[in-house]
Amino acid sequence: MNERLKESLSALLDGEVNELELQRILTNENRQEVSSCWQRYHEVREWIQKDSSLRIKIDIRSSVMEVITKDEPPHKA
Amino acid sequence: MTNSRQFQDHLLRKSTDQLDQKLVSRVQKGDRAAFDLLLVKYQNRVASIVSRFVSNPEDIADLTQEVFIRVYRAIHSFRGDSAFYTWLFRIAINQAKSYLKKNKARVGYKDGEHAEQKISDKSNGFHTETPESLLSRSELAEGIENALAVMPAELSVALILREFDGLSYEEISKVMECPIGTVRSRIFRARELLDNTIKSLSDEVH
Repeated sequence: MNERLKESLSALLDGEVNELELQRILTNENRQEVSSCWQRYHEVREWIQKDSSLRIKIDIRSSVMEVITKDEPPHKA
Repeated sequence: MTNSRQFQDHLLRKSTDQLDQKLVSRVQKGDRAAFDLLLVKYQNRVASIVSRFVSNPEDIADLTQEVFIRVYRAIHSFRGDSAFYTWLFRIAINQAKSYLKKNKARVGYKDGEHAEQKISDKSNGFHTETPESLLSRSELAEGIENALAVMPAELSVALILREFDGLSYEEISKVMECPIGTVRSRIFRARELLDNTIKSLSDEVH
């Protein structure tokens, strides 16, 4: 399967393809490869979204507020 | 499913935009409590973005703090032409890039040089007790984490903005200041690198 088609499948996963591109994907002769790639991209998405260690947790609230409290309040120009 | 997710993303973004705009207007009038709400709402997301450029937890915290102080001091210049978070994320990326310039020797820049080889090296570093054993969830999660950590920041940031923050390609193009086609290509390349990582890890146990 060529890179162009794989990139189209990736964009389809994000709902970012037009009708023409969708048609090109759906009419591709290599159904098995298209399905397989489509499935793998979904698996990649699932892995990323369920891996909580990729989401950084941080608490800088007090340090930032301490700095900006010393600032003059911002005023719209 | 994709259309349903897109619709949910759209509704969520719309209500988020309206709330953010209200809070920003109040900050612009001098209300620091409104900024506090924005800070708490976005600090983890900004930290996730800057962590694509620097990996040391102290650098991530310092950089995230710098981003919010800069945003507060510049908030009068935000006109609301785009969503607040696209403006915020853009500042975070630019701040991270300039931070790297200043501290390049110390923190190292994920510039993509030999990134694919590094991902492959990391993947090959995985060991299983027996060839028959199944790839565990934690091994795969670690493999994906490693792959994201060593791939070029421009790829992982684009993917994270899409997968974690639900931004559209158009919004990501505004945040990353590049054409939509580049966003599409970066997300595709990031997915391919992760897919290859999963495949190589799976192959090792079969």
